[in-house]
Amino acid sequence: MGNSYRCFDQVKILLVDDLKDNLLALEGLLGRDDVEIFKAKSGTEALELMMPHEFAVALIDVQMPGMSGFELAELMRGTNKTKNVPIIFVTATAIHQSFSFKGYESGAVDFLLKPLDSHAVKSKVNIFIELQRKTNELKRIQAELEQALQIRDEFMSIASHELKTPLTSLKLQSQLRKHNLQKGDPSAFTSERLTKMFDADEKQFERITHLIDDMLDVSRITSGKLSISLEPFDLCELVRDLVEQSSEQFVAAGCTVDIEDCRPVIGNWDRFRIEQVVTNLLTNAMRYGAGKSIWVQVNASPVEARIVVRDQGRGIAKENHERIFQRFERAVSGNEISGLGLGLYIVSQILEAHHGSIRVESELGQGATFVVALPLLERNDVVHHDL
Amino acid sequence: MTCKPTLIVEDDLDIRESLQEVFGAGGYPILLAEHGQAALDILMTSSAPKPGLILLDLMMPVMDGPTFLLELQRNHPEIFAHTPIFIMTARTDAHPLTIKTTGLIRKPFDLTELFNLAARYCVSSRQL
Repeated sequence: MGNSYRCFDQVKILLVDDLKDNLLALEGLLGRDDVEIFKAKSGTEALELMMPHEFAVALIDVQMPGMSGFELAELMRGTNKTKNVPIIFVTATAIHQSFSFKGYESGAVDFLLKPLDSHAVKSKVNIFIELQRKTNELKRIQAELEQALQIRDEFMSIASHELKTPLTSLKLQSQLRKHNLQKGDPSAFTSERLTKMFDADEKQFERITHLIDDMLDVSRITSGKLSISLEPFDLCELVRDLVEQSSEQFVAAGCTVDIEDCRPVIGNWDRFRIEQVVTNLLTNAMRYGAGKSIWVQVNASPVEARIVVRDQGRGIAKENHERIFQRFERAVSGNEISGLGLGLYIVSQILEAHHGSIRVESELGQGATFVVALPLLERNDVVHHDL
Repeated sequence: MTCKPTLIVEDDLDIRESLQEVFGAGGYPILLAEHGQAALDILMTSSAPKPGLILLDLMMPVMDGPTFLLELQRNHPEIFAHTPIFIMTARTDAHPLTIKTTGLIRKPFDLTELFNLAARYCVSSRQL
């Protein structure tokens, strides 16, 4: 939080007076940590400051040489950027109740009489500061909501596009079978062809299931319901099993997997979720480093377990190292690789729920090394927790 | 009558295989390419028959659909001008393609729709 919060929350006020002493006195009176005070010694200076800054209120001395406070107010009224800045006039002479000046119908206008009552000044200015703060807060919420909506729309669009790919195959295959059946073609339904069909269907069902699982995971993460249930297991054994299970896919991708180093590392983690992490990294390594070797390591320091997956794929430029762990992002352009772009996002969220981490070491054209770190906890430290 | 082949440019292996079977079942010859560059390579091969119809996916690795269209227009203007080109898309919103194509077919396709397309644009391979 800290800085960024302060920065967004910082409210600016403008003091306009030709006398330096008056400016300093007001500044002393109104100075607060969360308020930034700007001082102008003339109407012209004030207008210049109003261009880049948004002020919660402007305290304007009426009697100034050159441009008077009223003249300044009229000029402010004429410009979109400044016409809604609330004004408090500071004046030594009593102003007639019926006073009005040209053009300044909108925006709050108030008066303070010299000698100034410090309590009255503070409370009047505070109202405008609070108003500005609430406006800022509403703007921030609006921006967040707009972004959330945009993310959702984008997600729906990507998800429906991706779901249609396996659906296309399934629909065509199904209609083709019907077509062949109507033609009375028995050669289309030999036991060998049927087996092939069922295998092909199963592959599409798995694709759809996988996509839906990813969508559900993201929805769980977004709503803070990704639950982690810890149990002790050996990370090395899990990685070995997963590499073994994926051996056919590795062959299909032309990859060889070399488990360089795999020492038994027992820890308390969510087995299913860590499987998801490892599978995701292995799948990425195959996808981006097809036809080349992949190296896997599992090792540990006294405090953490590490899984390292290294590929010889196209690599990831430095500027993308953080981006790839965000939602719907991938290092290559959207046109090149299909999928939801959710894999590494889900992985990073799972690791966060374990109080672990993931990072990538890579340069463009140099392959990529993903390093997962998982904390090694004492048994009795382990709490069953939800994210 | 034998038709000139339909050139199918699609990166998804499963969809490509399904289309291959469908066109095979209808008796329509095809040329298969997994991306735009592979399609250009096929068109460069002088021995390969020129396509009578092109079905083009948009999002593909190596060379995507729009780039393929640009390259086709530049390197094979006669094919570009005379071959009907249909975009295969899973999106429901219109694609802002700057290059004119004949039409769109939406995924998931209909078998009948594909057969109709193949029949409608069947040009005898003997004609040139």
